[in-house]
Amino acid sequence: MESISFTVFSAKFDSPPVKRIPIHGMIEVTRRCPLNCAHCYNNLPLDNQDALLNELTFDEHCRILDEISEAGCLLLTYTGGEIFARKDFLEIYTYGRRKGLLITLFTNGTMITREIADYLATSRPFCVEITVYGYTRETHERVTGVPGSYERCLEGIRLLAERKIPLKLKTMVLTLNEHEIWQLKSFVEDRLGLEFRFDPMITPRLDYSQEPLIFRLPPYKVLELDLKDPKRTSEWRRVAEKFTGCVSGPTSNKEVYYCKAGITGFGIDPYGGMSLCLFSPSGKYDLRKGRFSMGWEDFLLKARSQKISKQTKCVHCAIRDLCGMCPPNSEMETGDQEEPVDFFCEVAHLRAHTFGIPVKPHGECRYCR
Amino acid sequence: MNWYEICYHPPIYTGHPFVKILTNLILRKSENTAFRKIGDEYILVPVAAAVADVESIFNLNETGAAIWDKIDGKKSLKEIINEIEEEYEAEGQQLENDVFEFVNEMMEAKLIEA
Repeated sequence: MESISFTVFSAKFDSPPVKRIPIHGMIEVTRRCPLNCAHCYNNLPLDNQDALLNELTFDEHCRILDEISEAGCLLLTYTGGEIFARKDFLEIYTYGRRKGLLITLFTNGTMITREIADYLATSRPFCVEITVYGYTRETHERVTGVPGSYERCLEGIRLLAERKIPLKLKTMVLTLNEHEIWQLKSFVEDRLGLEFRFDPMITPRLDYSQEPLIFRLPPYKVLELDLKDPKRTSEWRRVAEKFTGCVSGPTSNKEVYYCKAGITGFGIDPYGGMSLCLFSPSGKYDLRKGRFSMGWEDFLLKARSQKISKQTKCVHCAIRDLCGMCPPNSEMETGDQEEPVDFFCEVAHLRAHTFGIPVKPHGECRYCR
Repeated sequence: MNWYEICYHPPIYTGHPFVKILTNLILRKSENTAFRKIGDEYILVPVAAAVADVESIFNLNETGAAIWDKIDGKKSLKEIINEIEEEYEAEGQQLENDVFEFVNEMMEAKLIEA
């Protein structure tokens, strides 16, 4: 018998030949949330009646947990909305833990009570990730739109940290909080001693509203963040060193998707809709009407195997690993999952230029000039 | 030294009276452990903070998985060893030693109880 970390174990499934096993799952338990963040892609008010009526029940969650465990899921992430907005969330969580799932929790921290923290200390999650939006109360609450949310978030962090629950902090970088990112990073890493990461890649809402994009940084500022953060800089330099000039992903298969969605990953929304990932706004398999195995073996396999239907500049682009774009992003931003998104394209070209990565011609592209 | 090393460290202790006691032990799976088959891999996952480290999982080989499957709170360790000998057409001291060592590791990690 060998004691092994999850990271080492999961690497067995990443090396070729990659077997199609749904080892990584993400489940949105609710889209309801006490916050009203400016950039959020899916949040609903806490008392949204449609959501309350249509969210999966506890029994339905248990059935899904039975089925995904049987299919081979090991690492499961619960996200929202705010996961603790569901009063029965800890019961769902406990059922999942007892199935032998390693569970990561995404939360804004504001609904974590002493009782919840005590419980998580006895039934430990794989990790808890809390999003904090500013170094100061003013900035944090400018993003969340809710007075008092800063103090409650810090209290949630304190409750979990005191109990030594595996904890990471993160943020989305917006025009509203960009001026405090480095103070926040220093506070989290140096004062709290916790891991911190940030992401400036804001997407539209799942209902295709483009409102969050108002708060997205311009591409040159995304590059400034890359260059100011030694970790990000070294990662991009490493990409540059390994750059072969070949188009990455299964382009020989001409598939629309080139990530692990539908190969080792899946997403389930609060209403039982299963898709390749949580950002897929369309193309869902209804888990209320069928078993997970059917959805995985048939529906998601077909979705994952979709072939490219048109030639765009992305098809032959060798620097797409630098852009972060994916089919759901394109669909939400342009209405077409194969359509290039200008923002991502410009970021990729700026990165290539900055880190000395040659850009081969890949069709009509204004950013190549 | 742990109980396995004290009681079943051949050839010195093979005849030790504790060995008879040990082979009569009835083993139970801990309620805080989940067995999972992921593709072709077999693992044991601790499901409570009290058991091992939540970030560590235990990778079993096929024989380990077979032993785990046979631990039911009714069979003695000797019966489990006999069944494994039959199924794998193997016998002898080495097999017994391997089973004892595996069981010992699982007990130390609190994955099973006697």
